[in-house]
Amino acid sequence: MLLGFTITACQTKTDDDILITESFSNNKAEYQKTIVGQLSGKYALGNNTIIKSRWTKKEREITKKYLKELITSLGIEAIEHDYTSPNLNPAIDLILDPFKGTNIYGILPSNNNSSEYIVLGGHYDSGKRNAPGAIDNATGIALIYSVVKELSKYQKRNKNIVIVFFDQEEEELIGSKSFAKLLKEKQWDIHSIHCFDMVGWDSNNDRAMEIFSGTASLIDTYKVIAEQQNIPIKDIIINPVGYDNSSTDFDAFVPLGFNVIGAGECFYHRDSTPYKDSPEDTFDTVDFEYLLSCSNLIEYIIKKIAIE
Amino acid sequence: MNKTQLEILDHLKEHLFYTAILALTLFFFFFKGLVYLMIGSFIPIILISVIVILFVISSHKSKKSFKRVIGFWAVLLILWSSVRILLSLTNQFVKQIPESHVSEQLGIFGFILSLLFFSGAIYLWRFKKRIF
Repeated sequence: MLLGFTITACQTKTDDDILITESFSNNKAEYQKTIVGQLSGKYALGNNTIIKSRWTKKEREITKKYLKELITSLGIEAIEHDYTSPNLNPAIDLILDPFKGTNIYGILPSNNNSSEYIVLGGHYDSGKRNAPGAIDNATGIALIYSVVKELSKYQKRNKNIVIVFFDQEEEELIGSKSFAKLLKEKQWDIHSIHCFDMVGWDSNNDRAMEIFSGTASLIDTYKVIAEQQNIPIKDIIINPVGYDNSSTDFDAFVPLGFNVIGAGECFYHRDSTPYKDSPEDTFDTVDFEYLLSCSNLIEYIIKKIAIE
Repeated sequence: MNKTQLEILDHLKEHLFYTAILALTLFFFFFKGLVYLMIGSFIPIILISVIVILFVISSHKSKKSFKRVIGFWAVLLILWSSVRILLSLTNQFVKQIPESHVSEQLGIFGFILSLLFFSGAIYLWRFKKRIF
């Protein structure tokens, strides 16, 4: 019991400490490596805090704090979206408590007081105990951060940009489903939602990205710009009518009628990390050149949509 | 209140520890029901409402039927806590549950809570005859 109190006391102390103690490099490749390294336990944070995994509640609490600092470093106010959600099977509600978690989001405002929003999201939890989750999905977070960082320098933003990191994707998409409900409640004019999950594996070096959507205009935009950048796109067209899938955050937004697109490494086309949800999903397995290539592509795409 | 209800109340006043255990178990599930009700899930509040209604109806009838409802409630609690204890033991020693939120609820504190409810339910069952 004494040991328990001591551990709790130490943990409470670290809660007050700043995690991102040094400002990031201005070089995109460098700061992406730093973010992935910090989120997957390769690099220590302030007070020697190391995020070994993002599975337990305590680990996700530290990650949440880190992500808030990450968003704040962009000059954007970080907002916590706390949610409580029932279990998927109502009978389980009798046995267990509801899901509780926190999405972290922020808004980069448009330069012309637009009422339209583009949402860029990815999950921050990892799939199993002791899984560092470097590719799944520290890479998605690094991609979103870099895109928003570049967009924040851009003076022709005709749409608001929402940056959001979802909790509990690995637990039946609870975080993104709650965020989808929040978007409906807020009645924001959502132009499109872009979800990024796993962007760090390219064994055949073709730089291809996989996209999946039921919105033809979004697929076209991605394809046209990818072609200009000489990046192959492997698309999966889904039918939003009666859509019922629970693999990635993208799936949470389809049934509510949003224009949504998911993108990442070629998971369904079999060029994806073999270390998903395992302790081997480490920093050292990330293809950072591929992450950079995808980030640049997404930056071009979002810029194009933002200036429309 | 009718005569039977007054008698039941007297018995409950005489055995405060027993009453506290009974009230705590009912309150726990009532609170759980309210929490779930607020987030749009009705099963827990329906269950506890049925139990409370059974207690009220039986208290109108006789001490014997009130005792039977306590027995029924104790059996439900034993089932509830046994399932949780089994899941906790499986999670600890056989195969870890992959979902973090389930695994954490079935950790050491969850296990102790289940054990407390199991003991409380056994106590409610064993001493109901002595009290009523």
